[in-house]
Amino acid sequence: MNTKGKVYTVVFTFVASFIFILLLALVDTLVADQISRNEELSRVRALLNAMNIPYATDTEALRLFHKEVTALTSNGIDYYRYERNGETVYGLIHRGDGLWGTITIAVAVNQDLTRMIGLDVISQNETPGLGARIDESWFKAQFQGERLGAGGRLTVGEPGPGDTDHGNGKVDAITGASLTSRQLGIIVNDALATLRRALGGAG
Amino acid sequence: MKKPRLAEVAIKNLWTENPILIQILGICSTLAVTNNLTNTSIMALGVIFTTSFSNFTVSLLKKLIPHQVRMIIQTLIIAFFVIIINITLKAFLPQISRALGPYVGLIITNCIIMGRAEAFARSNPVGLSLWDGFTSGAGYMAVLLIVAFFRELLGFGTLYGFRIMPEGFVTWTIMVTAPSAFFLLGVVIWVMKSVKDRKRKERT
Repeated sequence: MNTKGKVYTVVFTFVASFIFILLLALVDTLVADQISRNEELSRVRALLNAMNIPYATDTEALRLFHKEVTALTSNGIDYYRYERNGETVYGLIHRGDGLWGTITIAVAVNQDLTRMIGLDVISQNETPGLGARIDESWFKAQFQGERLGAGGRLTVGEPGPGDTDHGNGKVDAITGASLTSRQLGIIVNDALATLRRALGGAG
Repeated sequence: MKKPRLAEVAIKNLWTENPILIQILGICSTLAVTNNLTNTSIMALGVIFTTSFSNFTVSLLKKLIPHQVRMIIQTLIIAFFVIIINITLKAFLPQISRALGPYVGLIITNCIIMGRAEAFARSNPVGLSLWDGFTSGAGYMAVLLIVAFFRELLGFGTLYGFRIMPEGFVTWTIMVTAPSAFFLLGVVIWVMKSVKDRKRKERT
């Protein structure tokens, strides 16, 4: 066969591309449901983690979420509400620009938006071992019960081992990932402002 | 020309012509993922899988692929396997997929894979090409694991996430950031080169 001819080259390239992409499309279709279930589950788990609602298994997480957490919409913003011992917790899924790509997080705050309940990361594309450490528990623990500072904002400070003072409205940045930490701070503050708008306060 | 044998290919890829130590290929990922053994291992397994099967496929189609567009077709084949890995991780190992983020997609740009397709699979039998891909990937993995071992141990005080260094050990921040991989890789290349030279001297 003459594999040097122009017609052969074009036909071969077309057929090869077609076959490989067809195979990919097939595999993608086969696992699409599983992937969207995983994504739904990771959103649910992140919201429960941020709202500090404990669960043991994925099944329990989904059950708790559908039974205990109310999804609400106001001013065009989707948010979540959970009642615990007479106290209301509000949650929000929010996204913004990281250093390399979009970071999607779940945040939860108390009723009068003066204190954070928690934060979890749903997806991020930051550098593994550096910026991606925003998903590590010591980093996220800094946000748990953190009192918000002036204007209901959080400040990301200097890199450090993790700020244990939950009254200063400040968290430590990650060593070697100051830019990701700063971007995350912007996303968290933006999420807090969005929640305030949803709940009718001044943005 | 003498036909390359299995052992010969393996020794070349793992030692005498190791893709990282001798050919200095695949350096981007060596610098990027090696501050953590878990990510390194999964990334390297992904590379082994891709080099093996892209070599296999390129060798299988070698008589059909038109010479002018061979590199585009090789890229297509490599991208195909990398996307398969990405989809599979997302569906069945979502935690690992989250941890690796964009690095899985970047396997496509790992020069070792295309290098082996061009230099070996294009002109060798199918089975041997698969073996060449596998051992090249293994040679890459071996070096990455050495670098990652020191970076995680000194940078975090852990190995595969388990605490090894005693409480109060001051972690070396530079080991977490990319420049340390330059230094470490340099040291590894230096040590391996010295060992190789000594062996050569002993032989002569």
